[in-house]
Amino acid sequence: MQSHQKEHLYKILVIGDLGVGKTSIIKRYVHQNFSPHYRATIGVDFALKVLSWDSDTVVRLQLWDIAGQERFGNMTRVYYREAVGAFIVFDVTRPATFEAVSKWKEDLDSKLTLSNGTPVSAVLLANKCDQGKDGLKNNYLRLDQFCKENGFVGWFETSAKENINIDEASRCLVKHIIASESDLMQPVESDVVKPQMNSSKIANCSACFKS
Amino acid sequence: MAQASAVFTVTRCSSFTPGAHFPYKQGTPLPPVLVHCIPLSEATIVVSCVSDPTFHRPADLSCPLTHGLPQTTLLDSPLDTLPYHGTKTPAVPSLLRCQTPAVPSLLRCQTPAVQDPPRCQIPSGARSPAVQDPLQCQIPCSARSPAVQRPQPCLQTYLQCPLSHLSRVFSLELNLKKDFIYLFFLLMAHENETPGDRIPRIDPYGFERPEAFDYVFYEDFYSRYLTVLTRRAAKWSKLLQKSTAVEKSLKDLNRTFPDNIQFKKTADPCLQSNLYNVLVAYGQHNRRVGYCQGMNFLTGYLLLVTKDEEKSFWLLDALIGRILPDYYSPAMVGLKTDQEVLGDLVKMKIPAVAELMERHGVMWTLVVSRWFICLFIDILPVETVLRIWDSLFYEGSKIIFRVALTLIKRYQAFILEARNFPDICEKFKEITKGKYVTECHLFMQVLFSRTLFTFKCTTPLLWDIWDSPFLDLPIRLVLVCMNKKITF
Repeated sequence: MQSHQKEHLYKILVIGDLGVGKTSIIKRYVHQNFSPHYRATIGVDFALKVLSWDSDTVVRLQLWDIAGQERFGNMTRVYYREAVGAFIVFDVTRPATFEAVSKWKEDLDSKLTLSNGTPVSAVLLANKCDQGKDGLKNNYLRLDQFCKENGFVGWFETSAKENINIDEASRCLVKHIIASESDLMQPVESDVVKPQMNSSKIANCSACFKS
Repeated sequence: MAQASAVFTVTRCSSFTPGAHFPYKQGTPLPPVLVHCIPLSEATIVVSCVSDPTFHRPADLSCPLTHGLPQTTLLDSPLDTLPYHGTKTPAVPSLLRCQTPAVPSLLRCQTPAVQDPPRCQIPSGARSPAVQDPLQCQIPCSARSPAVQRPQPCLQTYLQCPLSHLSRVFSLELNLKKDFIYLFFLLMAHENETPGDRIPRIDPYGFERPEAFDYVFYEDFYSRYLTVLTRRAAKWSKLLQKSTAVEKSLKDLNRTFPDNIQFKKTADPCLQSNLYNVLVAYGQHNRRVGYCQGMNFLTGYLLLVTKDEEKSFWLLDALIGRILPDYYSPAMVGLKTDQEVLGDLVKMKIPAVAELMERHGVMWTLVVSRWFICLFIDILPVETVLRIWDSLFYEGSKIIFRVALTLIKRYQAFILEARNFPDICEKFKEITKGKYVTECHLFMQVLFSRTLFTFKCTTPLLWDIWDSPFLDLPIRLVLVCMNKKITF
């Protein structure tokens, strides 16, 4: 029976500002535990999560935990390669981290697209919702609007500490990845996604056309 | 006049260089002293003790350092530019020329900034009749409540007293941002004292001074030298003062060593505040680099080892500014370069591993960036890291390559078992654990054995011995012999 199972391997980026809880979310999701005492992530770390998607599909998620400090940005560019989805995380207790979200999204879209040129699926996570003082309640509409404008496929209030919504967010992301994959997939193609980085941009360089 | 029982205590004596010579330990009663407070740069200077005019040459003081110093050498600005009341006496010993006015025997005190009574925590028993009045002139005793003092950026307090009453110590405290108090002192001379009377026969390091010791010159030298020390310390305090963008990006204080008891918020003293100071100071000092994640771990280790902010700061400066080539600047060019270099070295020395990495598309940066950025902190055991750092400080950043190559070489077969991308990453985590890296002394020996990559036939034996769980004497002897063979 297992031999009939389809396996998908998806590379997913987890990005967002410093200290918003990226590592905590991953540890919660993968190891089902939480500690308030994680060290700052340097460079990149990654973890694997295996999901039984349905009776004949197994999804393996490669979660890439990417350091939040801006200066690692140009180093972590290489880590974006071949990712098919992303979580962008902010901390509900620190508004500045939300302001950075659109920056992270732009950065993601500029560095990474699917083979048909569309952006990869991204889910917005409003983390540490156990600490927020109902601040988000009034902003539901605003966040919906924000997601629409910025091309997120959805958003979730999450708490790594209380284990809120992390599985849900992940299922949402995987669902969209699978959907966009079937969009992409021409018949006979395998389920490998081949992002082409910046190819269109290079062609658009005005200097090239002038000569 | 009755001898006053003025007792003041040193509330904190920092490791500030001149303060290192401070003769009194924390909490020790100070002899009655003259106090003189002058603002130095933007720091608040406050006083913690006041002299007792009846106090004379304290032969009974176990004060190891008695250099009389002209005040001008202590401060960057000449005394004359400071608020000054009273006239100067011309006939005073040269050392005291600048600050010994002929004023009434009572101390006079001038405090532009009005002090709240609670700040004047002069113990009631400390008030001799002679000094009572000036004491009531609101001499702040902020050493006991540094936090209360902080809002006042520039408090000036100035006391004067006649030469004959200048007895012992100037105690100046720079009450800086973040409760940092620097305490240094100045010993004053009596009219008929000679440098020989003031300078103890045993120096601060415990050496007896020779018979023919030139006290006059030494005192002169030291007063000049103290200027240098003060300037250096002032630089450090200036670095601490200014808040920068660095501060804002410092979210890593409690994410540095959360599992280290000395870094816990509840620890006393808690190294988090020291970590904060060093990182802010460094951001101030090297604006091009500012703060980069990873520096928190380096600083944390330096603090754990040196227990001293300023030393940690300078060691960090040596590492970032000199030893490591551009690892932490915004573009991280040095880091990227060195990762590439490591890749090339592996290609040359351990080609099978390089081929494996290439086949699975594993970028070196993915598996080794932390090795470079954190200099093996949290990757190898503490003892091993410290031994590596010894070499790093001495020989430079090439040591990082040596460590990396040694590890990869040693575990070549293990790494080659990896079948896929995550496997490889996992293997690279695994190879930094275990007996091999814990045996730091042996590890260092192998690190520097010249045959490591040249004589393939001898090294495996060395590795085998190393792997033996019982490193008893015969084996160690073999090892030593082998090392000889290897080295010569």
